[in-house]
Amino acid sequence: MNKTNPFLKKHWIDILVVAAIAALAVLFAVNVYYQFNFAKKWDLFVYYFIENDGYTRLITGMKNTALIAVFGLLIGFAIGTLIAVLRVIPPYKKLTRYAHKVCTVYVAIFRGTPIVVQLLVGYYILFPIMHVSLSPVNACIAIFGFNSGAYISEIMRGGINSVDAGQLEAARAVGLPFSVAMLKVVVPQAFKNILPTLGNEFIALVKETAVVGYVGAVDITKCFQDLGSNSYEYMIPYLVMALIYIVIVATIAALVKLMERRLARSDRHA
Amino acid sequence: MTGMPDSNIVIETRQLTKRYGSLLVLDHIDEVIHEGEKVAIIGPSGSGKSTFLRCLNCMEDPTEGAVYFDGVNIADMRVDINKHREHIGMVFQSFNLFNNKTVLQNIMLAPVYLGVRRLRIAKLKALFSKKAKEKLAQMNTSEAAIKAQARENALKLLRRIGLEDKADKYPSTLSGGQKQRIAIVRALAMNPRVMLFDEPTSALDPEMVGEVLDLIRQLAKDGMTMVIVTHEMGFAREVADRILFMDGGIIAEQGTPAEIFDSPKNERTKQFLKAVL
Repeated sequence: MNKTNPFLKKHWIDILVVAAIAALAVLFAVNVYYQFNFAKKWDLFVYYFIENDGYTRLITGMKNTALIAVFGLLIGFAIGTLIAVLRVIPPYKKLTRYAHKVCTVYVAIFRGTPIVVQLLVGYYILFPIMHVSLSPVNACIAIFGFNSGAYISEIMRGGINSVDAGQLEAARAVGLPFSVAMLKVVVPQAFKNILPTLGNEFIALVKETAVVGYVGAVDITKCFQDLGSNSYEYMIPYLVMALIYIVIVATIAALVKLMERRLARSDRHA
Repeated sequence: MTGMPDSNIVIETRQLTKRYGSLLVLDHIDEVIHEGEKVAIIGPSGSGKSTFLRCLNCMEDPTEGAVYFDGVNIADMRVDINKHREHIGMVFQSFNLFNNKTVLQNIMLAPVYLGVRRLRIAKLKALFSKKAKEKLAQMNTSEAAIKAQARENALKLLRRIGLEDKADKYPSTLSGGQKQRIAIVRALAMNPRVMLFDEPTSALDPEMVGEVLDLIRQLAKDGMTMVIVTHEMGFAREVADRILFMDGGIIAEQGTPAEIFDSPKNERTKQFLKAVL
């Protein structure tokens, strides 16, 4: 027996540690399984999820989460770009200086209050006052759009600053107005620079949508909360909910990474 | 060149002054650029020559004074500067081709955008007045025609510099010399009355300087009015009708190339030329 496996010889301690952790985990799982009567809980979950229409609600919930995150991002991108462009106009005119102030206040408000507060104030107070009647989901889309607009404006401002000032000068030198020079030359280049950051903003947005239940919109979180309260049993719904979020976020993160690599390659070959 | 009638003045600065905070960069400069004239501006770094050039199309807004282009004071904030910049071509030291556009798009962007906008405004006006309607009929063009014409013109210009095969390439794939020649052509596509060159060869590898200077030389021969800030003394001497020597925010001395290079009178000019020649 003098022929020991070189892998074992090198890594025996790691293997030991991993085995110990695995054993502990199994012990813990078995403990939980019996102590919390896991089998019964699972059956209950399956009953409520499959036979009691839980899954159709989940589909609606996922649809709403996607709607709020995607359209929130789109609206946020439009607002954010507008604010970022307004904020880089040189403050020669009075109107520009007022616009700068409005933008600063906007960003301060939406970055300075929790999104839950914005949802509550918007949906229960401001929208009714302004006689705007939106469904909960649409109200969430609007408010998430306003909110991410504030964040994206800062991202976009960084992106615009990362574009060489000569690009704007050259566009102005051929007689293009500031707005056109910005939208046709500077912002497209800024957009390319901030694409990965926007991807991360989207991930953050997806996770933040978990609070839309506060104003009665049914998203993934709300749907599992209801499932839990219907069955008086929360453990499995909440674990499944967490799992679903992880899968969604991991998928988007992978896509963002793929996009980043694509962009890096197009930079090399241009 | 001083005896020319005033109608030939393209750009005139009056008491042009530029300050950055308390730093006086341009000190009350009065200068006139005539039609067809080729003016080279030389001088030590920090003398304000680039700033002076950039004030001529209000890339930098003058702190005081006036810049008259075609008789209009474009330093006035109430003037629509874009309308005048169309007719003042500018070429930068760092080329500044639009990185997100192909070579052809770089050249076509401004002519197409401005042409289409003009047409749309004319169409809008034609809805309200008969006179505008006649004017619109006189324009006798469409958006497609504007685009086609701009494209044709751009290709013609590219052919002239021998780069028509690069039309659909992005700037990052081009050499410095190619980029700068395309930047010059981009300015030419607007049919400018005057071209401003801000150290057009300073960012180039030595072997690419020649091709850019050749192109500028051609333009000079075609009678283009030009103002060139340059460190290429030999080139300035060859192409320019008039040399401005700037130092400390003023035009310390000016004259024909022969006067400046062979018998400078100003002490600072002598020092500078001794250092660079």
